This record gives sequence, structure tokens and C-alpha cells, in this order.
Amino acid sequence: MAKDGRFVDEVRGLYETQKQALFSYALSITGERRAAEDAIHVAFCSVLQRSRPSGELRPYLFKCVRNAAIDMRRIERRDDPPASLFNGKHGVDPVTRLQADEALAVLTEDERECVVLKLYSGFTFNEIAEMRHVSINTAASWYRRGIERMRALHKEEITNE
Amino acid sequence: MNDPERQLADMKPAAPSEDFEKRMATLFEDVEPRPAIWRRGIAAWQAAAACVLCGFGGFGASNFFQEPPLVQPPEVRTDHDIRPVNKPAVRSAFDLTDPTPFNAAASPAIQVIIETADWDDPS
Repeated sequence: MAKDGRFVDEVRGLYETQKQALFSYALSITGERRAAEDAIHVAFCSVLQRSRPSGELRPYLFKCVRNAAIDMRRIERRDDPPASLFNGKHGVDPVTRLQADEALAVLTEDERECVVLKLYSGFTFNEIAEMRHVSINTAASWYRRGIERMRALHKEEITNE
Repeated sequence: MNDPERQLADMKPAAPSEDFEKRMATLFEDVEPRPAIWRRGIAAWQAAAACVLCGFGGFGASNFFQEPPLVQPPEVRTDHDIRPVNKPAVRSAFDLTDPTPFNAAASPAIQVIIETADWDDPS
């Protein structure tokens, strides 16, 4: 394990401030709460065994969590519907929550990841592009297409009603 | 979902479980090189105060472990009392007419050493 106390403190500080965002991101990939938690745990174990990477630590942590979450999804492939990405306890209307989950479910993986990173982790398109090794235009178009797809789904539902 | 972007942003995302929080806390405790209390900077005056307190504490504690003091032996006083013991012999040494044998006057005086001690009187 890491011997550098400052690096451990830095990682811990980032975890404390970003755990909600990290969990949302991992959950959007695994679709299962337990697997998302395991992915974060595995990713942090791995990060703390290495020395500090050069550059910013926050995108690096998200990238590690993403890799671990993809591995976890591969291992624990389930047929159950994905767990809700939203908090059901604190005053969120269940219908709205279901609609939001359904809306996110129609997106492609890239679009969903991009929407979650932008809305719940506060990353810029530039940061998302660097994390995913794509151009900034690709990252922005994933987001835009995702939002448009959700809007279209909503219009379709209204038409059907 | 008229405006999905705004509606999603307003919704509170799900939080990890308490069990997970404990797992992560344990992970960070395991990788800490030293306990957190030892990684805090200690002011010089705090270190000095701790040093003084430990010194006083150690001095106080050492009194509990000392052997009881030994009883001092009584002081021995030595008096030197030099006096002639045989006045006739001394006198004869200076008086050639005295019939006292000369060798008896060879030692005009002896040194008497009286040792007295302030021993406690057993009676």
C-alpha cells in the first residue's frame, strides 16, 4: 500500500467530496448498487497501491472507477432491471424518478456516462473528452444527443397518452 | 420531462450505503502510514511543555522506587591526649642525679588515644 501520507490524504479528501458523484457514475455503468460500491472500493485500493500520478487526480480517480465498474459489470452480468440512479428516500416523486431512470435507460452507454459526468460530477466537456480519450466535440455531441433523445422520448410518451 | 437537462440536474442522486462508507473508512485507515494523531504538526511549546511535565512526573515516580535510607552509624570521635605517664621517669631524664634507670625515661611520654563513641546506651 501507499506509504506517502500526503497522497493518501489527498485521495481521501477527494473521496469525501466526490463520493456521491463517484457512486452515481459507477452505478450508471454497473446498474447495480453493490457492484458500483465494489467497483469504487477496488478502484481506490488500486490507486492507493500506486504512486501519485502526474496531473489532476480527480479525473484519474473517475477513470479508475470507470474501468473497475466495467470489469464488475462484466463479472456480475445480471438480467435484473438496473437500479435507480436517484435517491428514493428524500422527497423525490417516484413517478419522476421512474421517468428519469427510463429516460437514462434509452441512452447509449457513452451518452449516459457523459450526461451523468456532466450533471452530477460537474465535469466540463474538455475534462470528459480527456478522460475518455475523445475529442471535445465528440464528448459534447454525446451529451447533446443524450438530452435530445430523452426529450424525444418524453414527446413520444405524451403523444401516446 | 419537458426539460430533461434541468429536471435531472434537480434530482438528488442515490447515495452509497453505510456499509460501504465503513469499508472505505477501513481502507483509508489501513493505508495510513501513521495514525492521524502522529501526523499532526506539534508546536514547539507543546513539545517543551510535555518534556517538562514528563521530567516532573519521572522525578515524582522515582521517589516511589527508592530504597529506604540506611541508618547512619554513630560518629566516632577520636581524642588525642598526650601526657606524661611516668613523672618520675621524666624527671630523671633531666636530673642526672636521679637513680631511676635511664631506659625507663627513654620514653618521656606516650600517646594515649582514647576513642569514645556516642553509641546509644542500651540501658
